[in-house]
Amino acid sequence: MHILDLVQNSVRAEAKLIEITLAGDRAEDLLTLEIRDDGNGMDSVSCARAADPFFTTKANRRIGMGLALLAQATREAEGDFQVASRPEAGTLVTATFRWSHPDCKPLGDMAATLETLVTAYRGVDFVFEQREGAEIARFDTREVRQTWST
Amino acid sequence: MTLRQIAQELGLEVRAGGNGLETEVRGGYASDIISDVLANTREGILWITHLRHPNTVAAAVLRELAAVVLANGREPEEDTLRKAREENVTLLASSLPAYELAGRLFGLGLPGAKK
Repeated sequence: MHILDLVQNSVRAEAKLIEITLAGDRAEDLLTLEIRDDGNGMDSVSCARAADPFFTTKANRRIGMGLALLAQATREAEGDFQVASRPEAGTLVTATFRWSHPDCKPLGDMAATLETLVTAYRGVDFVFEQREGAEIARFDTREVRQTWST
Repeated sequence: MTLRQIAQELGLEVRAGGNGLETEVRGGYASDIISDVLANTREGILWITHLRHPNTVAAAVLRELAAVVLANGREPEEDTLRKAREENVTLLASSLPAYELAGRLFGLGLPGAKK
């Protein structure tokens, strides 16, 4: 749910490439979610308020909960939440969770999430990478599209 | 029943938005999932939760809830208190567990939030 929300933000910022990384580290008991886009980033003022539920870029609304809910989820699982962004340079959202924390949210069906994203936003490329220890699974829509065209 | 009557009856402590105590309460709802609260509550509902985060205030504003009650001795985060004051959201605290709070409210004749 968080991933869908955040990708929607990226798409609204006219991103053409969205990279989602999910890294699990058993030894450090750390789960890290990163979402990086190449859209129109935010200035430092917006960036600092991004996780404030009373901040939104939508003109007809006063409340925006996408990032606020993710920030809440990280806190509930003793994690951390950061947004780094510059106008023209895109945005990187990093959320960490203590993996074994009983309140750490389940990831849900990542394959279904990706399928939804790829079919919903056809003009956008996605890279999804899942890492756990030495195991890396990677999916890049640019490669898939290349295969189709050859 | 007004918030003030309920607060007195159950010994709820006011943490923010004390001037909203004359609000008429229409029902109650207990949940710790914001999307669930947004889907199932409406104006005048009293919400019982364990969530201390400022997102509770945003949900209360969006649904025009009568009050947010933090259960089981939980205290709001500082940001949450500040937002509640800014947004005039009534924030109450209780040492009672959520189950008991809901039971006693029900006993006072306060119904669940109807869809």
